Amino acid sequence: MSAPDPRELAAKLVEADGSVSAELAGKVTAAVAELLALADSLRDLPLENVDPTSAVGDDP
Amino acid sequence: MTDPAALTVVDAREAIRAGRLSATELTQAVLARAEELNGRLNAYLRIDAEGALAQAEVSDRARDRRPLAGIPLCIKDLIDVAGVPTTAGAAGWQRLPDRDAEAVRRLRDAGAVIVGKGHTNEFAYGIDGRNPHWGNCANPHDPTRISGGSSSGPAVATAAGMALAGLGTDTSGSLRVPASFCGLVGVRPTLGLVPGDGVVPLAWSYDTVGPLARTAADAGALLQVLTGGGEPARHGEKPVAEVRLGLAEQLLDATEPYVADGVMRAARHLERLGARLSPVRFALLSRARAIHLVIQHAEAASAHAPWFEAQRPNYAEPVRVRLEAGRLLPASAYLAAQRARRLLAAEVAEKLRGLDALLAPCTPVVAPAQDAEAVMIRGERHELRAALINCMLLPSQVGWPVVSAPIAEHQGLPFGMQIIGRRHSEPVLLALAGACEPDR
Repeated sequence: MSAPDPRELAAKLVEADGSVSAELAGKVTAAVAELLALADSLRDLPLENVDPTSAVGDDP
Repeated sequence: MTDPAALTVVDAREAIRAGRLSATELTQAVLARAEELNGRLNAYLRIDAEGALAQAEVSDRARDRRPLAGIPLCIKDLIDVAGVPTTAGAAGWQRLPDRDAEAVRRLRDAGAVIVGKGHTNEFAYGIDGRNPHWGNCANPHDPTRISGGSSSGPAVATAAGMALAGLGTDTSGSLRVPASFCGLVGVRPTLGLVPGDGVVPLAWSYDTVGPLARTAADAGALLQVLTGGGEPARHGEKPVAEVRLGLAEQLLDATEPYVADGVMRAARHLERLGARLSPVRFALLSRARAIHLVIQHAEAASAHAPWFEAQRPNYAEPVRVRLEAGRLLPASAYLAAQRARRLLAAEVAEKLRGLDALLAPCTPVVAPAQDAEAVMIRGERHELRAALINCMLLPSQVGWPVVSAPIAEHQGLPFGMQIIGRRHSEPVLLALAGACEPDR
């Protein structure tokens, strides 16, 4: 089973939470789409060998 | 006699020790300013006049000589002060701490007088000093302009004499932007140098606690206390004449020409004092925005998880949209951003090898109007939040200290320059900031 598409999840907010208007869900969907696009834009970098838990900013 | 509320921390401390000024007189002067101005500027969400005077009287009776004895401070309302509700500038959310945040405890143990809790963007998740729940904070140089945020309250209180200095936080520029717009020195310390216990988190990868002050010397006096009184300077003091500086050329191009000119004038001034200056360019600079936004959204959603469901209807829409989006981000996106962050940090470390500090603009413009949704930069329209955090993002990724120093004015409004250094090089950065100050 593939992971759910966060864009679809955002749209389902309308159904899941009565306080979410269609307009708000649309803004959330757009925000999620932008964040996913931003994350995708990083994938051309050589990320495979980078430890994401390593210290940041230490002097070399 | 000079209005005591206009004194620097260093001068007030000297006057108190010499017996020319009492802590009570100083606190009364600051409270009088607050009484006069807070209705217009909205720097304080809560003022504890009675408590502040009581602290000052105790200080006077004890002839207190601790490092910040009798110095009145404004604390951002994201940071716990014992017995006072922490609202984080939110609607429908608060907590009542039974003890001070560690940073506040250190300030209080050094003799500081806590005047009150300062304005903030909702949960510090904003950069402009505007708040739909508590009203906007106004710029003391022109109240029709924004103050910058989210450490808006301590910045405005310090600039307007409603405190001698302030304590705030910086995740995406929340100390540096209001420092720039209000003409102050703001210190984003080395990540982890000042404890974040008792501070409402926003994004752990970036959250810092630091001072806002009128001079570099004042900021240094507070930082010394905030770091526990020890020496924060692994790199030690260094005369300006021996400093090697880089200049972040790409960020100069991302500002209005008057800002770029101001930074260049400050850089040339440091050169005349003997510093050596060389241009620096970063191949991964354009990735900083993607890295920062993905990490911040994911971590903010996690930080808010304990109260999110109950608080959901109370958030202002921009904050709620960010948090809802952050909750939906897959872990793979977060990890890609964290990996990319380390590549960017490694590039910054490499490019700064052999340099003591990097100079960069702080805000790309002076403070915009209160109702601004966008700003024009070199003829192009930029959404306000994106424009104001643009120059902040590179140093935020690295975890290194940044001092925002006021360097010039444009049409009567101040703007600042970032001085970025290696871990624990705050004293060097503050010395450079001090060298850029006009003679007082």
